[in-house]
Amino acid sequence: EKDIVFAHVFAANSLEQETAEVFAKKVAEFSKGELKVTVFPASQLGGWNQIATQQRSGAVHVTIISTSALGSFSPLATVDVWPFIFETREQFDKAYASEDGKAFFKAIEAESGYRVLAPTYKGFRNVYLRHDADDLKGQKIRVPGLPIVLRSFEAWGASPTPMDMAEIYTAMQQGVVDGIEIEAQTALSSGMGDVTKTVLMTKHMMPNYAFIFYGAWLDELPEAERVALEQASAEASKYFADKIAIAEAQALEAFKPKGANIKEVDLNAMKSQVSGLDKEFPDQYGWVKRLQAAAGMN
Amino acid sequence: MLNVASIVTRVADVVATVARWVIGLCLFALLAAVATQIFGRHVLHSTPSWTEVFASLMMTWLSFIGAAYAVRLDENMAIAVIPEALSGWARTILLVIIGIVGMIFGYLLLDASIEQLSLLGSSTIIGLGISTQWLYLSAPIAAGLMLLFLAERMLLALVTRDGPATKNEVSL
Amino acid sequence: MIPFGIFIVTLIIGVPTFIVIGITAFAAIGRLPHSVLIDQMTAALNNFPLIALPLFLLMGNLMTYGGITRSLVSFTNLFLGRIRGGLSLGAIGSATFFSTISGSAAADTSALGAVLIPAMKEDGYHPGYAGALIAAAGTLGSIIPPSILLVLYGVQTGTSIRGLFMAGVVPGITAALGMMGVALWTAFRRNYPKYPSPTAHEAVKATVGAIPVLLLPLIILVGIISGFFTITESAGVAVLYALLLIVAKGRFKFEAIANIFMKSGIETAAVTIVIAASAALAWPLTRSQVPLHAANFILEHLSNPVLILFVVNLLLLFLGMFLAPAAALIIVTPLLTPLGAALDVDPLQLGLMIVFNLNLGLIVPPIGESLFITARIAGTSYVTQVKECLPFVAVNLIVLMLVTYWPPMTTAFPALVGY
Ligand code: NA
Ligand code: NA
Repeated sequence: EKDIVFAHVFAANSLEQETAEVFAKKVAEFSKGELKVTVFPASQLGGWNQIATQQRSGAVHVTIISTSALGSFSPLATVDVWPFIFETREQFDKAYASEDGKAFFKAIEAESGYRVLAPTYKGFRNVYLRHDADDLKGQKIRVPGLPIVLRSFEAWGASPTPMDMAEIYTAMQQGVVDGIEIEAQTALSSGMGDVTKTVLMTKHMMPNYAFIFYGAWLDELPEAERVALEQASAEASKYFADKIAIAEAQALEAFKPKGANIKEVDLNAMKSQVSGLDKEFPDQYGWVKRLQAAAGMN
Repeated sequence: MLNVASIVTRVADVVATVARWVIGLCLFALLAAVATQIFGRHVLHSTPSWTEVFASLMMTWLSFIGAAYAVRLDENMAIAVIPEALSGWARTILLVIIGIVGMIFGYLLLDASIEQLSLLGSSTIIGLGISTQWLYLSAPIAAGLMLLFLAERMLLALVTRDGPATKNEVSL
Repeated sequence: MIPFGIFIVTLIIGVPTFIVIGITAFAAIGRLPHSVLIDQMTAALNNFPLIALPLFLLMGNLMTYGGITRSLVSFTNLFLGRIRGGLSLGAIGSATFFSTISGSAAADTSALGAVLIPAMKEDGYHPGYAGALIAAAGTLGSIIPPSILLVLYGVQTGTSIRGLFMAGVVPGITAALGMMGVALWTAFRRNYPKYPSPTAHEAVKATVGAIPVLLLPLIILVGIISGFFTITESAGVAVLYALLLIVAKGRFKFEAIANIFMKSGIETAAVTIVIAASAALAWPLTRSQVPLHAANFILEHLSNPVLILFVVNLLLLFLGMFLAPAAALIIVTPLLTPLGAALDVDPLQLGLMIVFNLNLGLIVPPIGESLFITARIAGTSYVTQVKECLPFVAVNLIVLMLVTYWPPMTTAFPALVGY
């Protein structure tokens, strides 16, 4: 019996944890009990950056997270946060299942060493504001410090503000930032329900979740074990994909009784405002074009 | 032994002076980053994306180098009931044992941080655009300083028998 | 067992605490990659909210250098001077008030300690007592909302953060009142100073003299409430303000100021390196699943809920003794959530119980991080701080029992406002 360590940063009662448990069950099943997965949720073994480094040293073996988390190892991986990369979930699924999608993950692995398996839709990112407003103009919005995201929000007239997640709740309460851009489920679990007056349905980003391994570690495993992990990733990913649409809708719905207005915004205007990004990030844009073509867009 | 001790002390003096300035500069840089962050957000209407990351980087360097520096002055937190109760040879022996434990730790820290550095060759700190190794480099440097200062303290403990004079508060 | 032995022996013979914890972590991780421990230490330090600690310490050292804190003593005694131990009551009051804007015990303790410990010493209080009182009162920073620890618990369990904040109000105020009781009792026992009513002239003089110091909390308060800066950033503003006062007083000398920066940096490192080492030790502890087995063992072998909660509290206290609160919280929360559900304990109550308990570790030996901070500021030994803090620890233990066994303590107030 061999120990496989699965560490992730999501809450112990989250859909991500359920998915990790499904993965563990499937691995036991496919490896006929040869592999035993232990799951450590809620950053118990460290935040994402620690998990990533620990995968390199072999202290952790698998995690679930967005590919953009690999941004410090591979700038290509941040294609994930490109504004309006996909408009529908069908396009997302089609693009990542295509040959170009697979080539994209190969390119990420070539730069970073990490293998990305079984990507799945995890919801749109919208903007949650602490006051009443109709658009992003002049708003201080907490964003992850990734260059593509920073430039996007500047293009929309907002003032992007990188900030530690530990400070978000009070920053929103006191008005140090006007809003935060994030997935509905994460917004809810970070307590944004208490402090949100307006949800702007910007749908500006459609990041993925994927099972991430360190490629060199995975390749050293006996064929049968590697296949068991790959199959389990695919099965667990399917489990997550089946549940996420409902979870996302429910999370968004939960903002209404708490007094938040849900507002549609002019997406076409937002899209044209970020059209200059292609020249600033030509490498990433090349992949955006390929993935969008594979999704049947344009 | 007296000669070796005085050479080590002279080297340690120079190294410690540099370390003290690094610590002061780290704190100054940290302060400057926070000030820039507030200024940027309110006056320039754009929060620089490097300030938070940079302040945290300075916090890391400050802590590692500061802790190593404090080893020299015996200013790190410790439960010093037993060492303070002893005198003469008994105290010298205890100080040497404490020094040896410290050196074992210093060695483990050095070894592990070199391993950590080797894992991060290709990674950059987002927001600063420099290698992540700049963050982790503070650990092996601190380990090296600790080893030097502990060697100095142990030598002095043996030479003067009663151990080095402690609690050299930074002068004000 | 061997790591635990190494811990105890090295601690007792007087090895520096961060080396004690660090070498235990290396022993505990065994054959797993040692680099993980470096990663854990570095990640604990590479943490933006933590920078409030060096900045507040720097502010305090600058104000002491500028002779700015002295005026605070006569001003406070204007109001509280007629009560024996008035300044110490004022200190606890200030800490309670500061807790309503600061989210962490470290920020609370360093910000207040840096100003109030020298003030209390000047007024004739025992330095060890002054430090212990501030360390104890500073723990309120993580109980009275806002609180980074409660946010961490809320995010880890999906519990309403505002609900948790509301749940912290009554335990926080109760603890503050209890500590004021200890302060009064100590003041009578030790005959701490008491002043006659001030004359009008004295009152005006004390007030005018204190204006520069009083402006500082005002700037911080207005800045935070108006959303101009975060509490972390406010520490930076406080430093700039202290520098400004020094320049205004004509006391700016480059060499002296540079020395204060170095001194504050070293003071910071002595505390943060312990927090970092404790984060390193948390990893092998979690990875070995010892806490998980302990939680399962309790559920399997005990059936009386009163006894289970008691044993859980003991284990939490034990963990809090050795680890920094945040490191311990990340380990235990996922383990105790199912246990709480099995016992039908309200998630708000469970959250407060865990946070209150682990937070207490800041003032409990052997590794009481807050006492490390205040021992430095007060210029006393750590052991003195531990001794002087015992009455405050006792009060907090009583509050902890109330939080554990009397649900309305934590749930009544949130229910009142709809949680
Ligand atoms: Na607080
Ligand atoms: Na502790």
